[in-house]
Amino acid sequence: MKFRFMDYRNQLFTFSAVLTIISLLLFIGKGFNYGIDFKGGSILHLRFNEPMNEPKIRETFGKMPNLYFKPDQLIIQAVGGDASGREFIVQYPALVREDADSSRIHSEILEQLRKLAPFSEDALSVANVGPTVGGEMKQQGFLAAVISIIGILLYLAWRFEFQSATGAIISLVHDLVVVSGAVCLLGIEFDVTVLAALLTMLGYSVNDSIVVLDRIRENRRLVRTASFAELINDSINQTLGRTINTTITTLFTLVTLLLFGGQSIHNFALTLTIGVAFGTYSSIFIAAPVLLLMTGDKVGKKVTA
Amino acid sequence: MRSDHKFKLIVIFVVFLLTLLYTFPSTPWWESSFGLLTRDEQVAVPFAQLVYKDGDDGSSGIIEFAVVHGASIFTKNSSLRPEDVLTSVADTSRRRLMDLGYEAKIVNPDYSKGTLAIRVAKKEQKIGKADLPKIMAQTNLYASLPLGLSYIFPQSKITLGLDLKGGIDLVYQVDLSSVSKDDNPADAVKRSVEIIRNRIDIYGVAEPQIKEQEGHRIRIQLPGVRDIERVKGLIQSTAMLKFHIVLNAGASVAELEPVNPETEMVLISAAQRSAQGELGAAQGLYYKLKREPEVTGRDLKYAQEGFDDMGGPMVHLAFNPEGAIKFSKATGQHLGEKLAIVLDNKVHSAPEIQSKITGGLAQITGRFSLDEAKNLAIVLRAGALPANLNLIESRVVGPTLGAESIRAGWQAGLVGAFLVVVFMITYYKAAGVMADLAVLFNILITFSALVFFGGTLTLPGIAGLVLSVGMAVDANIIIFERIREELRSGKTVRASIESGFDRALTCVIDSNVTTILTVIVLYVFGSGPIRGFATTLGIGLVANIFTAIICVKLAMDLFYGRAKSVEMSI
Repeated sequence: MKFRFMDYRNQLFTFSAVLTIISLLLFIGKGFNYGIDFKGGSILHLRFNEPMNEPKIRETFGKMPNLYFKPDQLIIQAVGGDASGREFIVQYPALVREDADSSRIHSEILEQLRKLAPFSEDALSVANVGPTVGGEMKQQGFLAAVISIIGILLYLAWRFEFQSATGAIISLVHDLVVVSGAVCLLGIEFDVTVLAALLTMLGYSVNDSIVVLDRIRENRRLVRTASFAELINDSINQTLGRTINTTITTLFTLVTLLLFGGQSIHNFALTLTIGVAFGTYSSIFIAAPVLLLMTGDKVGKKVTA
Repeated sequence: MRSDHKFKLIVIFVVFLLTLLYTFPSTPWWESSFGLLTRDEQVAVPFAQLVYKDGDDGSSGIIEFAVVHGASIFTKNSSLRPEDVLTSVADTSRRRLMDLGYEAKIVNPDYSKGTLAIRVAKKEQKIGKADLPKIMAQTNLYASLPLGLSYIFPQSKITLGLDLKGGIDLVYQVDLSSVSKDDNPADAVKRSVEIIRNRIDIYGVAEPQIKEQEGHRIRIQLPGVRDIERVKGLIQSTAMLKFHIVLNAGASVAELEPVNPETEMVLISAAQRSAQGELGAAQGLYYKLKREPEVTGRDLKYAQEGFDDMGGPMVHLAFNPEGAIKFSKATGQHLGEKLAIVLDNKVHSAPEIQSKITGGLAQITGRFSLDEAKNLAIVLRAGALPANLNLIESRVVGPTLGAESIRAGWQAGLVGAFLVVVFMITYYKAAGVMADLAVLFNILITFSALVFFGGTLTLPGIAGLVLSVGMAVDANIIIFERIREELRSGKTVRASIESGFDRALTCVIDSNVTTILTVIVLYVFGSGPIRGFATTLGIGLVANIFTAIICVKLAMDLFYGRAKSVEMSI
């Protein structure tokens, strides 16, 4: 069986372009839902001794004197898997000032909660991130992303000639934009694990493009009969088995992480799952067609980088 | 067999053996084989010398432990005290027994003889001498295999991150503006690190990590610590101890006017506990003090918590000779006046000087809880911090949550690996089996490399390990697909294997390079958990090149080595 991917390249381009534009709009309009890692704030993972619910938790916080935020500002999330309704993740905003007293304020909130609604100390997890640290993390994360992308670009530039590298890069940018858009759309909390997932996705998605481009390059040396579109189409079909299989095995492990890995890596697994899926899509439907677009449909045309 | 095959086989075998050696001590099987107690403890307090008895109450059993004073570990290490080893053995044993649902109490310790007993009981159940051997076997405290065998294994176990083990991770900003004028701010951060380390060491935490970070920050990681508030108090207290002569006291600042800022200052009293133990219940009092302190904490030789005549916790102080002279001079000159004990710019107490104190000894009393008195003694002994510390990031993970994360990660790993294994066998038959074995080998290599290099396993690290299973087979898929193509084009099995591996090689390396590149960036820029992810995924991908290319190639060469074979299961 042979799929005629190149015949549909214009539709594919349109589809990808629309996806990219929607993602960009989401990115501008909605933006990332930054977690405390990047904006500062506090997260409490609580397992109450008694069943609780969202209004009850807000009410409990409302009873605390001198609270520096309003109970409506709490972000409350029930942790799945616990049917008893006792396990929650509660987020509250960062304290603006950072001095010797800030740690005492967080301790007091916890101390009062302990009295008002007792919880298991052994199953407690607390994270307080000051606004300064959050801001720096954002900068560092951005820098890490930029360096990863530059590294990948340099590698591609070294390994492939200009047209192929452009194809791979355009598909890379497409993946980054679309997956970021998905992260915005789904409101996935953007924490350091999600950033790690995005960067890993970049590295992985380029793999698939490389395999396809590599095969095209090889076929160009061997086959001189078909048109370039035909040749690209053949190359994609030849590598289709492995493209799909490598994606399937990676998705197997990602989906199990998503289902069984627990709350803390849920966002990570979800982002990477979406990323790997789009990475495969783009290597077939973007990287190769761009190469065709840039080279033109001529047989065995010599290309200098 | 060809000689290069033989060589490869030997290399693979040696690597395999090493991975087993480095993995085994981190598995649960280690404890059931070689015991929960350390090797030294088992030698010093040998299993053969345990004595089982009936308890005198008729419903409990008694296990007597005896330490061998002449044991080799004591002769080798003279600073190790037999009674410490005995206590540590008893502690571990007691905790283990309690984990198993028994009541366990330490009774009749006799440190001069080096013996100690644990009384074992269980609710609504009679326990006697006869039950004890079985109970001891349940505890896995002692080795069930000959202890000597454990010497072939390396001593290192996997280090778990705070997110898996539970513990505290704190980042402090050193407030350099608070360094006093007569002090040098340049090394304030370094000295703070040293002082915090001293305090934590005296408090007693296993494997603390205290590091200076960029931007005048200090990161403190304490695995297994639960009492967060106490530890925070211990670290943050600057412990600037000063003794000032009191000029006047009153309920408000206005009562104390005029104040000459050149020579005088006003401080408020520290929050006092009421008789009921409520903090801050009593009304604060203002003190006008002589600005120049008579004696400071720098002249302190020693601090120890204790109890006053009423049984209330207090802290004993002893000054060094220089401090003792200053102290006796001050108390001699100001008889009948009040001397304020000022800690971190708050007046702790201001007792009247009743006589000249010459011995260089003093006490700080007040309404302490015992923990507060202990903390104060620790911080005074470890020395004062040169600057204030502001907590800018703190993360605490409870031990249960960590254990649940390990379980979840393990479960996800098993299911994910199972799906990958089944897929590979279904799709690639015998070749798939080889790839699966290679993947399992890859996991072993990654794990043992992590142990060997002292890396830390975090929850994202487990995710990286699981993910590397999915990515590791990618290389084999690329190669196998290529071999299939070569077979289809009519080549022989051997030729197909050769050219399949040959042609797929650049592609496999290409596809790993970009992922490894991003993993390196994550390692450099990430902290804690993310670094854990980068480490396992990175090692996994590098090991993958070895297992997927060298190992699987060798397996295929050996399997289809004979020139006659024309069928291939792929």
